[in-house]
Amino acid sequence: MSPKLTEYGERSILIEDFETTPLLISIELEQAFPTASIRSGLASVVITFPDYEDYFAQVEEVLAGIKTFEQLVSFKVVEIPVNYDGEDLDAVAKATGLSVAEVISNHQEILWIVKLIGFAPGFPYLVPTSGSSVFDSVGRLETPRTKVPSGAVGIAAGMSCVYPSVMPGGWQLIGRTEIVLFDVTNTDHPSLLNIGDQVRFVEVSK
Amino acid sequence: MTITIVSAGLTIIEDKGRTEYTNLGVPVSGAFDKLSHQLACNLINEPLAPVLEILRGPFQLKSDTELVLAVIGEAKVTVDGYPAPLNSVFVLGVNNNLRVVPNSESPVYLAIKGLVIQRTLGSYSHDTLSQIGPAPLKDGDLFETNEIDKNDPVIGSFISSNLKTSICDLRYLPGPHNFEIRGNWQVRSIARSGIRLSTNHPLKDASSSLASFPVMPGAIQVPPSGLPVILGPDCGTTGGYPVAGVIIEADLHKLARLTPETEINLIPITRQEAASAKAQLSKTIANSVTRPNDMGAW
Repeated sequence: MSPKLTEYGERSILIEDFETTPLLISIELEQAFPTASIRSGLASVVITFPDYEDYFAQVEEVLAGIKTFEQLVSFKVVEIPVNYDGEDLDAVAKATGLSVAEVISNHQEILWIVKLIGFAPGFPYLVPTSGSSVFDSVGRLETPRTKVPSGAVGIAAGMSCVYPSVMPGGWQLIGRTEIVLFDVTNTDHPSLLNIGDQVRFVEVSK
Repeated sequence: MTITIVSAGLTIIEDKGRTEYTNLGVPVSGAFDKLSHQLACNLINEPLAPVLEILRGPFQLKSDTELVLAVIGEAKVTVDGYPAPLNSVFVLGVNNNLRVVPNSESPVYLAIKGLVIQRTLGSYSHDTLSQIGPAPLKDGDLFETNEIDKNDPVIGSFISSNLKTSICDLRYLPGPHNFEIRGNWQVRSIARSGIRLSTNHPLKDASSSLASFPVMPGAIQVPPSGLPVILGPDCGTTGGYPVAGVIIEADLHKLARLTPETEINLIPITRQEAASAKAQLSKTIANSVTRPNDMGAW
């Protein structure tokens, strides 16, 4: 099945329904269109061109040429130390049918992968490398918090996240880390995590 | 060479925006009214300058050296109580008080030649969502300027084109998701993060939530309420609501000039029409500034 391309604004194309990862598509498109801006979604890629040429056929051609599912670049594994003292630990335990201690151990046992950096600067959407987990049944808060503290570790819809700074948010909070996820003074690599990196959460010893 | 902010009002610093880090979740930000911002920059002949975006007055400053500056927008501008011009470059004398009071909720732009601001991630822009960039101005803040040239040819420049457009007609490209949004909507609220619309007939079947995908300023999101939100410069980089269309780049500046209760008209157009609207606007901007030297001997 070939990916679906849709016009998105006047200079962008939304690419969906592909069999590989947004990351691999982004890498291929960056090589083919060095002057374009390429951004990933959880299951989509948006490419924005600097001009108004019609690039549909060219993009389709590049996508059709992607043969390998192999990862082209090496990724790092980042350990994130966590104090598991989040306000929603009990709610997450209830939603999963686990005890609080089991929630904490399961969260550490999962090897997470950064699927997307989005929403806010350095905000990682982490999914289990295995695809699914005991946290799939955990929903977002009905009413989002207006202020989630910096470093808060959250769970929602089978994914985990870390809030890089104080912001509103609807993920259920299970802990907190001291680690700095986003550093505006680091112009080359402001984000600790990049798409494709793997994350392991480790409980801080008490 | 120190500027003192006597009264900050609600004022932030903006440039063209921070486009290089959207893949790391950093909003684009940049001036809300990009047309006025560009004109202000062109007047002082610093196309990439950091410019003050005055969202609420009264704004007042003074400086211990002369300043070369320009104010664009709907505002009352005075120097020590005497009327000063809009849309043109003038010199503010030592210790004279420049006062800018916006006439409406639309932002007003103050460009100061040689204003020194630190860049954050390559841009001078303040982002109201993540607070990245220079902090909003406070009473008593001090800023530095580079030394000015008293014979600077920009002094006396003015905007000579008529750039009046109907702010209520907003052209958009439909898609990527299918909702019929053409026609009249009422503006409910305006913020740099987005413009909320209202109607007696909300869109139906708007409840679907999608895997988060990249969004951009001008994208018309359809949340479950069926009342669209047009994203502004400080919108998050990704969103999970369907996008019914994207306001064309040539009309984005109009969003900043809307006021609550305004009736807007969403007009679908084609990509070719969007491209020619952009080209036409760029041409108008390029020809909009008249320098004193241009007027020649007559």
